Amino acid sequence: MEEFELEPGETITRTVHQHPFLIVLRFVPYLVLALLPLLIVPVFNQTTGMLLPAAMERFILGVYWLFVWLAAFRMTTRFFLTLWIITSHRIVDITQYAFFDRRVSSFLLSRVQDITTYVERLFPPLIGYGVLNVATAGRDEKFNMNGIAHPEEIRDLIMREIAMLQNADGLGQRVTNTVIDALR
Amino acid sequence: MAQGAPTPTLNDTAPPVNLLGQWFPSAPKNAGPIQTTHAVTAHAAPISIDFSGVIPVVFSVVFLIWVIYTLVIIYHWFRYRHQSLLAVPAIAIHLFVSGSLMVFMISGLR
Repeated sequence: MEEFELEPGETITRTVHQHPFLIVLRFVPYLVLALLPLLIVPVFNQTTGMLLPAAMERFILGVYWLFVWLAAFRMTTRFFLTLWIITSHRIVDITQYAFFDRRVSSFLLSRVQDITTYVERLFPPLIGYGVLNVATAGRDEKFNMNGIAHPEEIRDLIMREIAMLQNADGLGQRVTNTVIDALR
Repeated sequence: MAQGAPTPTLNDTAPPVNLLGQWFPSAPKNAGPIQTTHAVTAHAAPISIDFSGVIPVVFSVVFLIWVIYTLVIIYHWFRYRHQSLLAVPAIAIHLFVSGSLMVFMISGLR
């Protein structure tokens, strides 16, 4: 991964994307936009009496559909380039806001104070996606993972990682130090 | 009005101006009054618009935008998702769909 360097001993536990159902939902407006001329053109011809030549009609429709496709594919690119990476030490939030507008932020698991999941309204419980909200110490805004699949599962995974980290850095280390001191 | 004065008649000798004729060469030159919608639809004659000079320019601009957009898309996918199995199929789908649309655009033109 070029966007951030893994620390020594750090491993990627999981890469999280938004649920694929969301991209289907987001395609709906573009589909409506694409189908719109099929309704508008006959009505326009009827009301104005202007009958464009077939070739010209195809050209105008083609230009229109091409731009609708470009917009839809831009949305798709943003969708797939936005992700969250959970490592053994931290959570990395990579958000693609637009072309050439990409933000990568990360925070240590040791700073996590609270994790909340929201699975509400109609589709999320049915399809199985929701919002995972992470509050960290020393960070004003809350960190959100919107539309991720099975947020409870991700929450449990983060909690496990935090427990392992605390165990490794805290109790486990203290036990090791005590044993070493005792052996001296 | 005085008795015996000739009845005023409208004697407009100016040639009728057909503004639509600039854009629709097939429309009659002396079209007279503008036809109503129903009258036009009743004839149902397709109006041929002469866009022969505009189409290459529009197509060139659209094609240029498409090329720049595609390069930007390819850059983003390969820069940030090059390890993903989705990158190449996504770009292939984009090229296929947009290529098909461009072929559709120009398919009826000579």
